Amino acid sequence: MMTAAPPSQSGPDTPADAQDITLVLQSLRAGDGRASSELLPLVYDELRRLAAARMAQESASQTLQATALLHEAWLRLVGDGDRTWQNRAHFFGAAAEAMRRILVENARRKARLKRGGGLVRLDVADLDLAATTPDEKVLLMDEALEKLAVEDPEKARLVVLKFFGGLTNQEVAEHLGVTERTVERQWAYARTWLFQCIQAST
Amino acid sequence: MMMKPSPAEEALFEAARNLATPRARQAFLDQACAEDGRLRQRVESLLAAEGAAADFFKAATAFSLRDCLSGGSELVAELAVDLAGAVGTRIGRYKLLQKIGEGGCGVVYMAEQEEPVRRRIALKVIKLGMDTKSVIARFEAERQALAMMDHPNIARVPRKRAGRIS
Repeated sequence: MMTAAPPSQSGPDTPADAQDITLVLQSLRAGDGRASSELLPLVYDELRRLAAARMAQESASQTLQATALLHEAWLRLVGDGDRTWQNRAHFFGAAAEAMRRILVENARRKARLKRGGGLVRLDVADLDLAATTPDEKVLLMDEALEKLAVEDPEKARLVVLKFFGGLTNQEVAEHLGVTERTVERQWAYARTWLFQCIQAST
Repeated sequence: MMMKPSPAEEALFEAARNLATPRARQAFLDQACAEDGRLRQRVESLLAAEGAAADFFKAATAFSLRDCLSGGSELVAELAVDLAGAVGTRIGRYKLLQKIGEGGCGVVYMAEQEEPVRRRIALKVIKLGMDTKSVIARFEAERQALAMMDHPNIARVPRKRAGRIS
């Protein structure tokens, strides 16, 4: 007699990582803080795969939004699983950070290709901030974010969610467990501070 | 020298930016920063930068991955190898038909280009993890040499252009 394949988590279309991610999220809920660092590489891998696959498929006229990719990864990896807000918060925190790394790596790689190899040292002396390319923005932002993280890690996390995750103020508020008003205030201040930080380096 | 972020600055910045007129802001800062000229200066400089900062970040949050991930045939070639670029894989508007050679730094495929015209070309895909500098230099030299040839049967290699494979 034929038995149906078990639903969702171990179906043929479920990526192997989905099962790993479910386990990691369970550990996080159980209070295992170490699990956070395990989540990032899993999400990172999935995002890279998704991005590469989409890039190969999309026609030239379409754009690919970072936010859409994050939501897609969420659905693929935890779609049928436990979608509590804590899990979602952990996932999107890791996903936004993973997106940051992917974009920074790509921006650096392209800069290396342009220069023909060697260390990337972003030459910001002649940079016109109003006319920066997405690549340059990513690199400038990343550097400034590192400085902010030293002084105020909470704000830096918020910026990563907003800038690299593309989350709305409301979504960020939910993830961080604060009011939307707080997010607005911190975002306005953080981005102005970061902008000045970038200006100071050019 | 960049000042550290501070809660005092943040609070004053928030209050001031929500006031409707420059006059109201001045009055507010007169009162709130009466003792602290440096703090006032900081808040005023934040207020001055606010608009430009919002623009800088607004455009950025809507950025498209395509702009950031693509941008030159070399990068797409690296991505293709990442995907285990096998026959049948598409890279942008090129479809890999068959492998026709393998060099020290990459694999050459016969590929089919679909737009703007349908034709067969040789597409060299550079392997990841090679000594990038010399590989790219050699690739660039080849590209330039090819670019100088203008024969109907030799593919015109796409020029590097940010954000697109041509």
